[in-house]
Amino acid sequence: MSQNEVIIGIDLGTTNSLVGLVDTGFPVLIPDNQGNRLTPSVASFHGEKALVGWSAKRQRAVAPKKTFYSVKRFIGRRFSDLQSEEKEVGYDISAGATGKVTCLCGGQAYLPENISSLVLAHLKEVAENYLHAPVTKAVITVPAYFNDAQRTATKDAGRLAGLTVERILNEPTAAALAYGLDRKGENIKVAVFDLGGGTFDLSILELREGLFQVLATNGNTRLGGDDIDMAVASELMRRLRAEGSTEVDAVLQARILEVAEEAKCRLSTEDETSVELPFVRPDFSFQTTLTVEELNRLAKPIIDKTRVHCLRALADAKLGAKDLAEVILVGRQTRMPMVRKLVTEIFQKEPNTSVNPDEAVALGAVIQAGILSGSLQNLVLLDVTPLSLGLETFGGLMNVLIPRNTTIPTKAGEQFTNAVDGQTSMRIHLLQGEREMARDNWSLGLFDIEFNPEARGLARVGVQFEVDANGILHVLARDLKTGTEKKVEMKSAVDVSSQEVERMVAESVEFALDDMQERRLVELKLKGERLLGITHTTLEKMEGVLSSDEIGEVRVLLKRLEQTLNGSDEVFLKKAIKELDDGTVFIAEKLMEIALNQKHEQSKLYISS
Amino acid sequence: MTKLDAFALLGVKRQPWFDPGELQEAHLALCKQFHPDVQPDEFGRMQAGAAMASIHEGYEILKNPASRLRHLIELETAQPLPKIEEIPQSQAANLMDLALAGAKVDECLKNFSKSESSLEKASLMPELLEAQDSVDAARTKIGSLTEGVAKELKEMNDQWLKMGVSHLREFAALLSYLRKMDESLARQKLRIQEALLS
Repeated sequence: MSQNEVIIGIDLGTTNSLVGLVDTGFPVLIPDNQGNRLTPSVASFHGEKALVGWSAKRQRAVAPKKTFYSVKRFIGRRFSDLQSEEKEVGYDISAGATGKVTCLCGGQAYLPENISSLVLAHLKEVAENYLHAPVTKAVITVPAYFNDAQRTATKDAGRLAGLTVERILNEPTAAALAYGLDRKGENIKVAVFDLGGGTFDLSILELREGLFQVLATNGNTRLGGDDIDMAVASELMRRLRAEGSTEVDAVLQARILEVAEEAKCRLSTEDETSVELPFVRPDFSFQTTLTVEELNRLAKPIIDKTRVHCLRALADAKLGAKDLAEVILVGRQTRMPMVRKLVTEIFQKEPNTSVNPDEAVALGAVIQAGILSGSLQNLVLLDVTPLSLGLETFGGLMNVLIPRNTTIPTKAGEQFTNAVDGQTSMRIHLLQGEREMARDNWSLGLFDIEFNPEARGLARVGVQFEVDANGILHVLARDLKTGTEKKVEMKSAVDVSSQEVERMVAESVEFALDDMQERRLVELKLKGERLLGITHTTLEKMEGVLSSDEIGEVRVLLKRLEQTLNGSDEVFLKKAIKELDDGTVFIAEKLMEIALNQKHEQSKLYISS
Repeated sequence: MTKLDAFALLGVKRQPWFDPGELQEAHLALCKQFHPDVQPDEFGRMQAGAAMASIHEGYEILKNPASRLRHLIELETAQPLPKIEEIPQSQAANLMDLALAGAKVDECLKNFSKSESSLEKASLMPELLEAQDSVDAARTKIGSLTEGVAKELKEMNDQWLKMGVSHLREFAALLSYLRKMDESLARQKLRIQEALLS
């Protein structure tokens, strides 16, 4: 690559995107002709014409069925893998011919990568207007926890927009680049806490003398600020219904989601805010007040989910919170005070907010583009593969070939042989994920190894798996006898027809159906018995602590469960178990409090003795 | 038996002990030279991908004292070491204690994961907190044992060849065991933390 060839850096976000490049030695982000650096990742179709960015976002409340947002949540994924709440978008989606999530608009069907490519093409144009020259190369960021299919689909989106994607870069790593550019002399370890609109990543990096090495990464590609918007919106919906508005159409739904998001943002700096929906009906305007406490209550279960990922990343990096010099906040959701409080608690230090949480990732993409084009020197980035890579082996188990958090580029080899005389091929199932059973992991695809017909055990084919610097997998097969090499074509998991997937699933559950109902009842009864037992013993133990009223209430629920246990009605049984379980949560909380207090007292004793 | 010589690859002397900084330096210098991103053309980048993969592999081997010692012995003797080594007699009692602590924690975690109601979970809290303490204590013990070995190895840097490679085997076995136990304790610790969150 020549020294002067321009590579742009793009942060392709769930909600907003940014573009930039290295200009005379400095990374800069480029505004569009309206002066906006942020471009909403939205496209809206109107006949032949597609609107992109701000003009498309404005269509969201007017033409919700034709306006596509948050497609990053769907890119590279199978429709059958979506949870029901993930399908709650203003537009229609379905399983396309290949099982991929497909966006529907009138008679047209678009893949998420088609929508993303429109956003990318728009950003390319912004850069070209700035440079007055064509741009053909880009670095694009993705969540660190994206799997192979999601990365490949993102790369395809770039190609569709007329861009050669020189690098797929992990978002938290990009943010660390932006943070560390001016601190090249230091030798420190940092964590990047990246909570965006749709995804959460936690990466731990070591910075030393221009080398940025990722030690561990963990995350969730379906956790983000959008979930909080949704929770706020459903609360508003509940209040709206309570005032007698039962009919909520797609347009109103889109409006509610919009005001929910705005209210959430305002509550980052205010204690309470007024939410207004003028003219829900010609004769009715809706108004309500939302407080920080109410928002926090709605957001807590969502934000709490980030904890476990932080713990896992620290464990994988073999570090404790005290080993980290800084925790850097990235992603717009980290502006929320409650998120900052949680980060402070987990990492036992005030988070670093010196980088702009909206722009750090884009700046990092620009810096990586600068490294690749040669305009920034003496910087090297070593990233890791976020998910373990393996093969399905006998018994449906996953056999790990490349463990998660291995520095990339990396390679691993495996030898295969024929199991029967004259066998000419063998089907291999490639997986990505951390679960023991193959079926619980992401299926990356299937490929066939070809053997020369020989007696059993004589054919030998070596297969090399290589994860490149983009985190994308390449497979190479080599016949160890003849030495011939062959690049293996993998049928991507999302390309396998949905019928085939359905058939595979059906086969696996068919024989299990018969005894399922009976087993379920037996299991429920066992569960009920256990709950009875533990509740009785706890009540005895806690007699002095609980009031007689409290005990009386629990006894009523106990009695009810005892009665249903004699019958065989699954629904009643389930209900009684749930009622008792819910009804004793307050006792469980007391028990935990007591345990923690005792522990606390003990440690005080240690200190004083 | 690994085909590569990690010592030669990283350009460092064959010896039992390295301070982490020394290896980091060597690794950093190679990264800056061979990383695909700093190559001037497409051909260079293709070549560099494979080179980097080997460099990382070598660094990973040397970074960990246990795998470094094994690698050193295998290179010197040109023989693969057995996957499982005998527990050194002198340390048997220590290692047994650690293994028992781990087993007890496993039991506690098993009970916890089987519990289905919030009451049952809450009643296991004291046990869980105790388990957390014993994991921490076990890991501290492993830390000090490992440090002791490190000190001995450091002193052997100049004379290990005279003393013979077989002398190193016991250290290699001990370090491997300590490392495996520490890893399993770390996993347990994480599971306890996750359980306490739920």
